[in-house]
Amino acid sequence: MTPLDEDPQPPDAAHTPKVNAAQQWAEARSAFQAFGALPPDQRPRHAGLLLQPMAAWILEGIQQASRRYYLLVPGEAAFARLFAQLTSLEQLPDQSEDFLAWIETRLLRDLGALIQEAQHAPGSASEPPPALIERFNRLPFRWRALLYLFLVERQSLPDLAQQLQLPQLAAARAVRRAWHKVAGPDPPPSLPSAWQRPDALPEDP
Amino acid sequence: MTSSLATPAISYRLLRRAVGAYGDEVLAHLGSLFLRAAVLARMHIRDGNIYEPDPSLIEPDAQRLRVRLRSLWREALELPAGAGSVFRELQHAELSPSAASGRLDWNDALSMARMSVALRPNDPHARIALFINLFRNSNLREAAAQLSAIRMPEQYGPVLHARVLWNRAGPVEYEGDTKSAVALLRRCLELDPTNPSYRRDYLAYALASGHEETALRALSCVRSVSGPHVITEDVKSFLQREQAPVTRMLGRNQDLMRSLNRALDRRPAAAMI
Repeated sequence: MTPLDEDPQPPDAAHTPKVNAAQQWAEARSAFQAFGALPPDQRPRHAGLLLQPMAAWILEGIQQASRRYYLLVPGEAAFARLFAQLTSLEQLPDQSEDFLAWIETRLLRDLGALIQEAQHAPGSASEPPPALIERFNRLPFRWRALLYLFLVERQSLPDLAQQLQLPQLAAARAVRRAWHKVAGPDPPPSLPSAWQRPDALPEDP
Repeated sequence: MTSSLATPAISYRLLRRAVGAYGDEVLAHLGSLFLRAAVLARMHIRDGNIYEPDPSLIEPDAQRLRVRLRSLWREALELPAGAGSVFRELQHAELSPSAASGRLDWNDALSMARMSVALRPNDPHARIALFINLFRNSNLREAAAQLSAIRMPEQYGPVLHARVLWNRAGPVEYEGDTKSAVALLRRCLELDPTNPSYRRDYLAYALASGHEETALRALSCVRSVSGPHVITEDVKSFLQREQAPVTRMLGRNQDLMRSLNRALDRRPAAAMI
């Protein structure tokens, strides 16, 4: 399977929850239960403490969903909203996989609203601008996959070309075409510093 | 393969944003509980008017609702600066003196509905609940403003869109514009044909309009979605609305009722479009 196949694929082994993550999940669950057992007037003061054991799981869930569907997510807005939503759950699922699936469902359901929220309250400089996120997510799956692997995962052109089973020049042309769809007519949008920049692509001869 | 998830460093900025979102969530949840409490309180008011809230808003266990609401109320009072202070201001501005002091009056449907709208201003159900309470208290201007505040009701889907239009028809009829009320109810039935309240009120307004053609059209429309036997039930149900202005109007239109019955007996096909 190449990243250009139409159907979303499950995350590969490098992205599955880790072997002894079970213990970490048990700790997160027990922190959640302790939070739920607090008298209501004490919960707000302890919300920050609950955040600590849950943060890694929320981020993992966001990353998995983003990678699975090759979607860009306004990270801060999504993180904050998902944390808020989990505080109103009766209990956390027994298995961390079920929690990650819950994150994915909520994220896909609320992504449009989260992008809108990010337009009013942008995230940190390590996030792409909301307008770019919106345009990116509107691309067809195969185009998103191509750009995601190049920009976000910083795959080299030879690796990308190998996955696409294309000559390098053709792969570069495909990435550039997809990028033009996302960049829009205005001056090039500012990109997170961790991303690979499209101007790293070789020019057409 | 690593053995565990890396513990991320949470910046103060992200922590503040997450705790702020938690506060928003608490307040929104509290608003939905106030809405349910308002609906329950309204259902217990016997003023001769029919009250038919969205079934999904009717809490089956009132005691459980009260426990949850009190608990969330205490939680909201302790929210950090920002969300919590907004709630405290609302609490004093929107609720009766007894509620502001922490004792909720479970029969005060209007205060509960006000609180719900204050906490969930973009929730059409909350606006409708407040509208009903204001309208029944004869505060027509403020009631109309609540429905006007629901922008683009079509975005919420046909069922909720129909409910908004149905509520709009009430004041329109009250002001004597039966023709517009008929048009609104016809649209409701197009959007949500299975709702018996819309069938009944469409018939009611159409009959009260005093125009035979309008009434025949309504009858045929209702028949097309429910069949003749349901029409009988709808009309019976409508006639039980003794306090409704439309019933008084119909009292002056007994001739119309008779002529309609004759028309249907004589040429039932006339009632079919």
